[in-house]
Amino acid sequence: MSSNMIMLKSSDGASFEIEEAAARKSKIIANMIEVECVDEDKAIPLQNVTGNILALVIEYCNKHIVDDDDDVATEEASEEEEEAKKKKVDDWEAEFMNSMSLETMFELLLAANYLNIKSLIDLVCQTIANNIKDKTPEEVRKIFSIENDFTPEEEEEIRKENAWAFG
Amino acid sequence: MGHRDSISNLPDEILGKILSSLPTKLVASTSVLSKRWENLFRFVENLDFTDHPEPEFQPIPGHCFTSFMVTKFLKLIDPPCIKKFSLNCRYGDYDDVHTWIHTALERGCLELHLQCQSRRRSLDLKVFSNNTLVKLTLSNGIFIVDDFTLHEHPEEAGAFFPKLKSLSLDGVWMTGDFYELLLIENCPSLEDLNIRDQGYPITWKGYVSSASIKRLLVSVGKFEELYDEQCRRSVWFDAPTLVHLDYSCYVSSHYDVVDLDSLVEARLDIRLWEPTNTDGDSDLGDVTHLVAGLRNIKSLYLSPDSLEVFYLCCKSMPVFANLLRLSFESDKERGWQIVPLLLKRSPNLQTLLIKGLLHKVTNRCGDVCVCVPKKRKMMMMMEEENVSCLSTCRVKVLEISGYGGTCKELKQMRHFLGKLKYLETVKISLQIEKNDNYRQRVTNVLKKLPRLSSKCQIHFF
Repeated sequence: MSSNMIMLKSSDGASFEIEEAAARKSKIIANMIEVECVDEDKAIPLQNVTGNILALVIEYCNKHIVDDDDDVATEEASEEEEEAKKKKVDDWEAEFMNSMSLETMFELLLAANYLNIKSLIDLVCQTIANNIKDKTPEEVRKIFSIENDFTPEEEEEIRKENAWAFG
Repeated sequence: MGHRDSISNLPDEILGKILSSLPTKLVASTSVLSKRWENLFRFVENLDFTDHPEPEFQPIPGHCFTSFMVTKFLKLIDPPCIKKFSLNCRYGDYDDVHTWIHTALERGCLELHLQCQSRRRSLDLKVFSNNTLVKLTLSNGIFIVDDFTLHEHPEEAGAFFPKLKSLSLDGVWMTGDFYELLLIENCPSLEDLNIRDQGYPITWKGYVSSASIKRLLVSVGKFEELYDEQCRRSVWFDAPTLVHLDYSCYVSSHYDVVDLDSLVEARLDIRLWEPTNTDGDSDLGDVTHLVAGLRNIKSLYLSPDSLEVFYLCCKSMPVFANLLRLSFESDKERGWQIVPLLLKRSPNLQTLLIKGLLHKVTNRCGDVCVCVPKKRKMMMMMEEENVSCLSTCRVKVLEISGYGGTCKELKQMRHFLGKLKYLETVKISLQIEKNDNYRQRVTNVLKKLPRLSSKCQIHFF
């Protein structure tokens, strides 16, 4: 039954109820469930995830649990239906990522990494990468507030070593 | 907003993941961002390299691409695994290429895409010894010379791919007739095989023999004159586990071995060698064995050329007892002669999809009407002839795309609706603008057509 509910507790003490099927998107939680170290009425403490980030993770998992089920069930679905469904998910993901700051994205990425949710890691990495794409190093430094700690000579040396990349 | 350099605080592996979805050239340029970013290159899982021509004025000694590969890629000590490695070499030497591939494979590379336009030397398959590849693409001018040790001891020659699931050969020059066959046989886990040719050099030798393959794509363009004879010869499809076949090629003289017992779906675009001469002179080709091999399929697509090939080059047609979905495309230069027989031999057909109703009016439409030269009479005969095959046809769903609303098309629709007694759904996709008044007229006329099946519903798109 997929209607089993599980409690998750964030590092700052907030509790969240989530369907087991959605929670299983996290390999770490899925493993805990497998080895039965999940007490029915006790929340799973997640030391490294704050409440506001955990809420985002849960929103993502809830959205994606349905899609995974459908994949198995509708093998015969037509190409157009598949495409329409994929577009819907893509649109949702774009909107979801659009709604947060870079700072939140980094925290979400660390949480996804800690909880081992592969598709969420990929999504956030891709979104961050899109901010680097087609940009010069100067622009990238500006976007992410990266401080250039090279001396001009050192930078020149690295540019030479990587001449291929600047060709 | 308080400016903090939070991205640089992410762990190495995570930054590596972010960089892995960027073009490698851009990744290399991020090494100047700051000291934190200088050595992140080693954590990148997906690498794609395209070499550069030797610059006329060299700021540093050596080829700038090669020197990057030597100083950055090869020199990494104890680097983590890589997932994907793509290499596109237009100017490089195979010696370098071999070293780079070897290094990538040593790092546990799962996916390798190789494109080399330099044909000076053969790619040495020994470089593939001990690989863990799951996906391999060789394309665009890779040159592999027959190495006879492969015939005797394939594993020693290195061409053994224990984990390979997907192999694509796209314009790969291979000498020796059986080389490709051996290469494929040395992939015991292979599921997907794609062979593409754009004429020259020839990759497709006509043999596929595999006990594990599930999906096969063969797409071969027109060969140069010189090679025509060579390519007309026999074809083998010895693939008992194959589920999906996509075959686009000129018709071969023989299909010698055809074992396609698990085949569920086939898309065929088989073309005749020269303008059709219906008297069937010397060597048109013969697809009889191929068609017999399709007998278990559930879904079949035929291009306009394939319809003619089935008509002209097939001596007998099996009963397609499992065929549920038949789809074909029309062309004004190609006839429908084979359609009546196909329908008769598909007793359980549920869905019929036709892209375009306009086809060449032939004087041998099927096996009923013979030599009716006048156009008008022709249409009448076609209708009569269709009576015989349509009245027994169990099709429930008829999908027509590219409907233009001409007189001929309307007649054909009248015919379908008046003769197919099991029809439940008719989907017509109109090739007329949505706001065109003509569209309304066309749909109104279609809606008024008499329908033999009382359950029949017409939908327009």
